Parts: sequence; C-alpha cells; structure tokens
Amino acid sequence: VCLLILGFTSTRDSARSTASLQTPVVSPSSLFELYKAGDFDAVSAGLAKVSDWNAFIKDLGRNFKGWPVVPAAVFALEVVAAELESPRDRGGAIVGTMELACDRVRTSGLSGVFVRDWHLGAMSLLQGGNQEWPLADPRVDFGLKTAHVDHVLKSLPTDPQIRFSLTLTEEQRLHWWLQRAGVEILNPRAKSQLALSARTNQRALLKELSGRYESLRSEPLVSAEATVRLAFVRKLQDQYEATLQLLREGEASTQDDWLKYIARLFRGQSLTVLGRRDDAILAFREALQLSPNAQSARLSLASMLYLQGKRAETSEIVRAVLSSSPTEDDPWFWYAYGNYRHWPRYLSTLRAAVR
Amino acid sequence: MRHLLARLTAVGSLAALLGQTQPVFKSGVDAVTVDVSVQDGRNPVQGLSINDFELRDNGVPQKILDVSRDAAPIDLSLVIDLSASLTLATYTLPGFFIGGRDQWLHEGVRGVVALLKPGDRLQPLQLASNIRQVKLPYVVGRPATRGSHNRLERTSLFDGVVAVLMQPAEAGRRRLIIVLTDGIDSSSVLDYKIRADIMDRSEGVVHLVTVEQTQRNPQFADSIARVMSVVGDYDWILRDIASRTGGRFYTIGADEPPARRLREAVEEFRTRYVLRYVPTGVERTGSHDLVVTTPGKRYQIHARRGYFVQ
Repeated sequence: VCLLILGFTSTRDSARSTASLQTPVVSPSSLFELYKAGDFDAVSAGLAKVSDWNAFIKDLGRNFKGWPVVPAAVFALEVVAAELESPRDRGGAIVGTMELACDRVRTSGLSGVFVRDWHLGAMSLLQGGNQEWPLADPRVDFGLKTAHVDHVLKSLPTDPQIRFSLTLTEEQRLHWWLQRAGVEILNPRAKSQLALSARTNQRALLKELSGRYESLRSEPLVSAEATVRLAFVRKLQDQYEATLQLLREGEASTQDDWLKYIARLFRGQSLTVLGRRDDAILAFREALQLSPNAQSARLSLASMLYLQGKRAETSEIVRAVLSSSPTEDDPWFWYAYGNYRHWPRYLSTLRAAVR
Repeated sequence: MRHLLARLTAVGSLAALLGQTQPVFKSGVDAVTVDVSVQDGRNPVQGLSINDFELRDNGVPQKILDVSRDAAPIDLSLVIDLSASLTLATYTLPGFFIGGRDQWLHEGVRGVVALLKPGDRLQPLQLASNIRQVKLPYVVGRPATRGSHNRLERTSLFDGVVAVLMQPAEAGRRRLIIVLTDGIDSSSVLDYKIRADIMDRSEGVVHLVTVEQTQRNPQFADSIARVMSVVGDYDWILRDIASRTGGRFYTIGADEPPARRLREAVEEFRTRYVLRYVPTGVERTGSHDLVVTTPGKRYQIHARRGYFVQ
C-alpha cells in the first residue's frame, strides 16, 4: 500500500483546478488530538467539513511525523476515507495522504497484527477509490508498484488475507479494462488489431488471476470468495461449465449473503450463455431472494422473461426497477471494489488499536 | 422551471404515462408498423409515398398498406446520464462549480420538453449505477447528497437502455428514447447478445446523444483516451444500439450545449415515415428481419432491424 505515488500524483493535477480558495475550517492537529482521545465521531464530523483537501494535506504533512505512529497511521486512513466521500479533489490528495501514512508505517519498525490490519484497511480503501483505483491503474509505474507489493509480501509472506487482498488489487486491473469499451474488448465483434492485442493482454491477466485464486482456495479465511472470484475469471475465459462447478462450491461454503448473491448472479449469467434460460431464470430468482431490489438480478431476470415472451412479468419488474429508490443497493456494484465492503470492519479493528 | 412544469402538465403527467400504458405488443397483431427515417445528406426527405418504399420481412417483399408522417403521438423516454464521469465536470471545471452542468442539462431538457405536442408524453429518467424514473425538476439537479455519489457510483448505461426498451409499447403511439450520455459504462451485467436480441425485438427507437471526449470529465479523460487508443473505435457499441433500433447517433462537440442535438433528435423523429403492412408469405410467429429501402434513390434509411412475435 505504500504507494508509488510520485509519478501518479502529477497525472491528477488537472483535477484540482477548482480547489477551493477557502482555508481549511478544521486543522489536522486539532482533529488528531480528538482522535487520540478516542472521539472518533467528532473527528468524522470534522473531516466532513473539509473543503480544501490540498491545504488540509499540506497541513497534515507538516505535523504528521511528530505524532505517535499507531494513532497517526489510523487517523490517516480516516482522512483518506473522508476524501473518498468528498466530491472534490479526489485522486492526488488521496494518494498523497496514503503515501504519507505508508511511509510512516514502513519506517516505524512496527510489525505483527497491527501492521497486517493496517495494510488490509489501507488496501480496502484504495480498492474502494472508485475510478481512481491507484493500485490497479495501468498508468501506475509498475516498477514502483512491484517494489511496494514486495515490501508487503516480505513483511507478511504467508498471510492469506494479505495475499487475497493483493490479488483483488490485481483483479482491479481487469475491471479497469472492463469499463465501457473494455467490456467490448472481450467481445469477439471488436475486430481491430489493437482490440485483438488487448484481448491477448487480458488473457494473460486472467491466467495470472486464475493461478492466484486457485492457490487461495485452500485457505479457509478466504476460500469461498477466492472460489467465486475464480469462477468470474473462468467465465471471462468462456469456461462456463467450470464456472458453474466453482460457483456451486463457493456458494456452499459461505454464509455471506453478499457472496451468495454474487454466486447466484454469475450462475444465471453463465447459464444464459449456455442457452439454459429456464435454469438462468431460477438462478436470478434465487439471487433476488437475497437482495430483492438489486438491479443486476432484476434486469437479468427481466431480460430472460422478455425474450421468452412473458411481457406481463417483464413489465412488472421493469416498472419496479424504474421506480426504485436512488439509494438502492446492489451487491454487484461492490464487486469491482474488492475488499472495500470490509472497510467498516477493518476500521473498527484499527480504532480498537488506537484506544 | 415553471414553464417547463406547465408544459409537462400539458402533455400529460408521469402518472398518466405509466398508468395508462397498456401492455400491448403491436407486432403481435396483424398489422406491423415501422418507423423509417429517410435522409438525403443531413436533410429529411419529404413527399415520399407507398411506391417509393420497398419493405422485406424475412426477405419476402411486403405490400405496404399506408405511409404516414407524424400521425401518432410520441412517448418520449429521456434518459440523462448523471454518472460521475460526465457530471463531475461540474465540480472540476473552473467557473462551473455552481450550476454549470446542471444549467447545461436544464437547457437541454427544457428544449426537448418545448418540442412536445399535445398528446405526447414524457418519461424522464436518470442514469448512474441505477436507472430510475424521476420527476422532471429532479432530473436537472443532482439528486444525491454531496459526496454520496463518489462511493460505488457506477454507470449501467447499456442495462439502462435495455430496461427502457423492455417497457411495453402501446398501440397507436410511437416510442422514442433519447439518451444523453458520455458513453462510459462500468457496471452493466447483461450479455451483449441478450442486449442485442432485446434491441432487435423492441419497438423503441433509440437516439444516442453523446458528449465528445473534450466535454467529458477531465478526471477521466486520459483513462478513456488510453482505452480508446487500444480499442480504436470507441463508440461502435453506441452506434450499434442506435442502428439496431433504427435510431441515430449524435455527438456534442466541445463547448456545445446539448439543446441543439436533443432538439434535432426529436425533430428527426417527427419527420419519420411510419409504414404499415400485414406480413404475408412468412411465418407469423418467431423472429422477423426487416429491411426497408427506397429503390432507385440513394437516401440514408434508418429503421429497426426486426421484430418478434410470440
């Protein structure tokens, strides 16, 4: 997680052009005093008021090295989380904050459970960085990136959660490509030589991910999700029967409704491609039992029904989709964000360490 | 805004649009209607009659019963892409922080509403991770609380278009779907072939009005440029949607407000011919491929590629 950032930050400068001229309404030092005292809610409220992240981060940098390492490192993650919530100046400020904290953790001599939990928390935040995805972005210098990954792995070479999280980060490279035209790269209709070349590159990445997830399937802490994510890779490799087998195994070995929903959605998608539309309909209905308002399964189900001529039920589902709440959640929307869904749990653990 | 609401009232409320809609599939009855755009360069061709058209259903020439223009009221679904990749420009372009993009959208939507006639109906929708119907004043403002859209907000553009197309058609009305978007999709789940099958079988005409690279959010511009450099033809999938549904693909250039293109999209639909025929010499049920031509004339024809009868 101790990123690379140097070259990356400059690519984000253009996004800062409207950084507010206002001075920060809250100072990092005052918030940190509250943080050390365990008043986390007050700190969250204070961070929500920051309007100029660049100024805030500069201020943070001036004081950060003098602060005790454990609360400082966790406080920095809270700052990153708040930046992710902010509509302004994401990117440069986020990675700048993370770099500051990473450097501190790396050079502190700390080891053990706290360092592992901190890395897991930091990686989950970066994985949740929406379009930023600093670790996944192919523009990031891979030499620096490899050095960082090596650093984490040397510190925690066998920890399955760290290995899993690093693999999720690799998978985000795939999702970066799957955006928009990336999806169509995998479509055989994309005929240009460049598209063919891109498809080849994706195949290499899929092969890499396949090996990593396969090796993680024997680790009980991450086995179920590694299995489902391996199924996703197999699906992209057009190996649908293998996908279905993995999804059966993954779903049977977890009590996590989020993961079960994903497994059922992928099962329906695979069955759709295999032409087993009645089975696909069943899979989408089963997914909706877990998340009744999820758009991904609703529209998948509606599309199958539409093509079977069942227009009345299709209309009913579409009407429900179009009248849904703006905050309606869908487990699928979290999929590309790796471990970000676990951020609240990581944060809770890290706050306990601060106390 | 008051004018805009007044116009909405004049053309019928959203409740009316939803409540009065009957699940009638026009192609399932004896006569089939096909919206056809005929252009000579950028200009619509006027004055054509039955004898100017040739229509083939599954390769079999059909007898066209009548040709009309602008005869039936329009059900217009207006889909506005409010995802971060397009709308964050509001926050990042100097001078546009307050109201810039909202105003930009507002003008466009108001322009479309002004073109509706009595009997026409409007269904405004907004698109990001989810697609959903909104009250019209809402569509031109950012509905999410500040900040909440940054986490996990994605864009289900292709799924959203399909959702709108799967709505039931109503006999005696024409359906137009206009999508204002930057073309980025990050979270659609429907398989390409499924999407294409639905587009081929639905009766809506989809006009896509897309924002050129220069208008897209600068935070995303270089990422998109990189993908474009690999893919080459970045917009082919959008043109494919338009082509399959008999619609058109428009682009908005740098600094160009959307109003003109949106207006153009509605006006283009108004100039279309509606051909009606009863299929003969072909199986009634199943998939039907449609080809419409104007023999002997080099016009550009846009019409849906087919339909399906259960």
